[in-house]
Amino acid sequence: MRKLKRNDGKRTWSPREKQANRDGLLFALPWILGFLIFSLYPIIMSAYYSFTNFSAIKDPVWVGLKNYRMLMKDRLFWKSLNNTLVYVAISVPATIILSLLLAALLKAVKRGKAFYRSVFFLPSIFPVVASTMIWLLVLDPISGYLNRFLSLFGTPAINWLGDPTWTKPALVIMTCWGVGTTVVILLASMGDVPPELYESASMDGAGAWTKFWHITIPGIAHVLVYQIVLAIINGFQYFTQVYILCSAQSGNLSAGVGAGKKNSLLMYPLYLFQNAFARLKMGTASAMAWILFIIVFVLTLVLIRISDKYVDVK
Amino acid sequence: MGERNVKGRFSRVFPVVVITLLALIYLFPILIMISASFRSNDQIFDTSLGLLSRNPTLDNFKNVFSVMPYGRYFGNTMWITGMNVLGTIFCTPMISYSLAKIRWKGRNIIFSIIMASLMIPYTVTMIPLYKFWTKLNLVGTFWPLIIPAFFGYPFYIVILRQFMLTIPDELLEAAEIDGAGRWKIYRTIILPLSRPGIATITIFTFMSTFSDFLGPLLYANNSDHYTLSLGLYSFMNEHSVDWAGMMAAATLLMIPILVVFLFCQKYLMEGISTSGLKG
Repeated sequence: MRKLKRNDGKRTWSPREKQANRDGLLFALPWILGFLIFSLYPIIMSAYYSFTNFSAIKDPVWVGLKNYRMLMKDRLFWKSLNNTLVYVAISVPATIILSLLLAALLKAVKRGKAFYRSVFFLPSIFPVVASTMIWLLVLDPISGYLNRFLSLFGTPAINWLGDPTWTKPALVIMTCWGVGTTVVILLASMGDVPPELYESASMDGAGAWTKFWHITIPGIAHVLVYQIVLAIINGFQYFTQVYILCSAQSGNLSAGVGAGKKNSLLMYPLYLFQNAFARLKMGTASAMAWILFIIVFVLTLVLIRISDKYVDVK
Repeated sequence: MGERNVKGRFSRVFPVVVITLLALIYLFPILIMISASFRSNDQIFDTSLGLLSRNPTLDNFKNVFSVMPYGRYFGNTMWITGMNVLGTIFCTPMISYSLAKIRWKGRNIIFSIIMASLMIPYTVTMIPLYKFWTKLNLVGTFWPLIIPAFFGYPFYIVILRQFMLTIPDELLEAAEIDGAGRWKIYRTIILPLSRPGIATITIFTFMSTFSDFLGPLLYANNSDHYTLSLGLYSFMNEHSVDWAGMMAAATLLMIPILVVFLFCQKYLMEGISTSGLKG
């Protein structure tokens, strides 16, 4: 009832292995079905829709590359892509550095570690609607708490969510408040770095900074890269906050028609959403979705390539 | 020696000072929200009060309850959340078991696809899925927010698989020698031993379904079907000058999350810690 396992090219399955193949497939079946219905089918359809003229009401009509050509000439498309790129370019380094800092501090603290960790983590599980509301209050241009605080140092009032130069920093501040998950993950991975490394470095007289840079960072590099990739993917999909902010500013609830002053809050997914559900140009929106998909995919691939070169995976 | 001592004390005290300051900054918006919900609107921006309130009032909460059918929204939210939890508990362990403990030919390829599908942007699937649910005439019902949970979400599958990998193989082999089939092994060994992992993904599911915004925005788009998040959102649009009311509504939305957080912190933290370590 044992062995019978052959590992030559074309393998024959023992009855036991056949049973395992059947059982494995059966247990995984829900996900396989779910993947076909809720991921693969939509991905294929989305690619198809991107070459059609398609509103929710009427059936799609093939138009070839027209949606893509129209997008290339669409000023708002470029504006939204630019907004998202700027947001990603600031928010990814900001959140990663902040998370590293918070995790390193948490690691260094002896007493009350669990308490501090909870404090930093808590905002990340806030329902987005609630946290966005709080930030509307804190970032209010006239009497908001942040401007009040800054005025102590003589800074003139900043219209955080109204002035196009300040909208991205404001969004990044909001995002930084929600880094808790990344902090917890980085803290956990820092705990996995062998303590002997730190001890021997201390013997050699290494300071805290040297240890952080030469032991901690390489020790958590694989997790860190993964978190950076996630931050980029999430950054490109940043939607709900701007959707809520824009409708708060325009006082309009339906399908998010607002885009902030000079379209400065018009993130790429928001413009995509407006195309799909406010203008019912679902073909155009699908083309936007594919452009985003390809950008994210290529960026992820490049990052993984680079990290494979420099990070030794254990 | 003396200098070293000073330096040692500095390196011990310095992180505590910095982290306390940062913690205060992180806590501040939450405290503001809570304190504002007990103030009248003319005191909202009154910094001279600190975090207190002159004549704290419950009027804001009363106001929220009177303009917003909170009970109904809460019921809607709990129905969707409960069904998602049910679907997740029912399906995810089976799939994770298949990937963690059954050696079968499709295992590696399925796992790779699951990992890859974590990176699919929702924007790609959003429109065809909307069309899909429209065709089935289910837009405006809760089903588009519930049914997918019964097919397992990749993120939870991966977390639970990670957990199941720690179950010793010897246990399963022993049961196999006793003639137990995989379904029996699953029920009598895998499920009981995976309880902490299942608790973790239950909490994750609860948190993310409870707070979801985009899903209900697309599918539960009539006020009968509003979730708490959508209810709060529409409250904000109709009462955008009523800061105190908005903060009271936000506080009400927070309470269930806070309760779950306080009671299930351990599972939540452990789950998140392992979720970062892929592979």
